[in-house]
Amino acid sequence: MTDVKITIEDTAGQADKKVKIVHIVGQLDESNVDEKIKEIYSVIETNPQNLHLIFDLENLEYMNSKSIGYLTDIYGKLTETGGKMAIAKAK
Amino acid sequence: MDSKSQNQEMKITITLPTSAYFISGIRDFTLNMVKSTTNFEEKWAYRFQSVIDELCNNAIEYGSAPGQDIKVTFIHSPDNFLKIIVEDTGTGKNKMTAKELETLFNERRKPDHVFTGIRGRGLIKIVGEWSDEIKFENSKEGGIKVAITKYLKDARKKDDGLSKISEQKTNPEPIILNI
Repeated sequence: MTDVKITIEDTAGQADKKVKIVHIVGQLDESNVDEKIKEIYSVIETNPQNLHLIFDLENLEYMNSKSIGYLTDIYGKLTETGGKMAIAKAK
Repeated sequence: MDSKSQNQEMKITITLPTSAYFISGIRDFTLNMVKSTTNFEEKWAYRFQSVIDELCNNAIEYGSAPGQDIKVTFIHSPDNFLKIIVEDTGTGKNKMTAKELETLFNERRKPDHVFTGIRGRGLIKIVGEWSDEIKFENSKEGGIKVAITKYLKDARKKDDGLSKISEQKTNPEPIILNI
C-alpha cells in the first residue's frame, strides 16, 4: 500500500467556528484513499456545524482523481453546514 | 547510449498483476522514464504519471479480474511523441466493449456534462485533457486496449534546442518486464 499520513491540527479558531488544519503527507491513490479519507469524514461527523478545514498539501506528492472527488464532496458537506474549505501549498 | 540508438523508437512493455498496490511503482517508473529519456517538459512527466495511474486503475477495477493482469506499453518516438497503451483481459466486473467505453468517454466529455460524486473524473479530466489522441480498441484476448498519444511539439522542454529528426526505426527491440 502506498504510504500516506493524515494529521489533523486544531487551531485557535473563533467562538462560532472550528478551524482545523489537515496535513497530508505522502501519496493518495487507489490503494489507500478510501481508507484514509475516513479520518477526515470522521472529523466532519463530530463537528457537524461551522467546521473550517485547511488542507495542507505541501508534502502531498501525489493524489489521484478519486482523491479530488473526495475533496469536492468534503467541500460540499462543509459549505452546506456553514463551514469552508481551503487548499494550501498544493504542488 | 550512442546517437544512433538515441534516435530509435523505444518500446517498453510491463505486465502487472491486477492490484492497485503495484501502481505506485508504475507511476515512479513513468515519471523517471519521461524525465530522463524524453524531451518533454518536466511538468509532462508528472502529467503522464497521473495519466498512467488513471488508465491502470480503470483496467484493474473494471477490466481484469483479481488474479489476472494488465499490460502497460510505452512507445517513445524521439522528438515526436509518447504513446501509452493500457490493456486489460476483459475478465473484470464491468464487461464493456471498446465502442461502449468510447461512447461513455464522449458523453462525459461534452461541455454540459456535470461531474457529481466522487468518481468518474479520471478518464475525462486527466487522460482526455493531457493527451492529443485517445483510442479505444478491443484486444484479441477479449479485453480493451486504451492508447493515448501526446505529441512533443507543444510540450517540449523550453531550454532544449530542436533536435534533428532522423529516420525512425519501426522495429525496435522491445523491453518486456514481468512483475
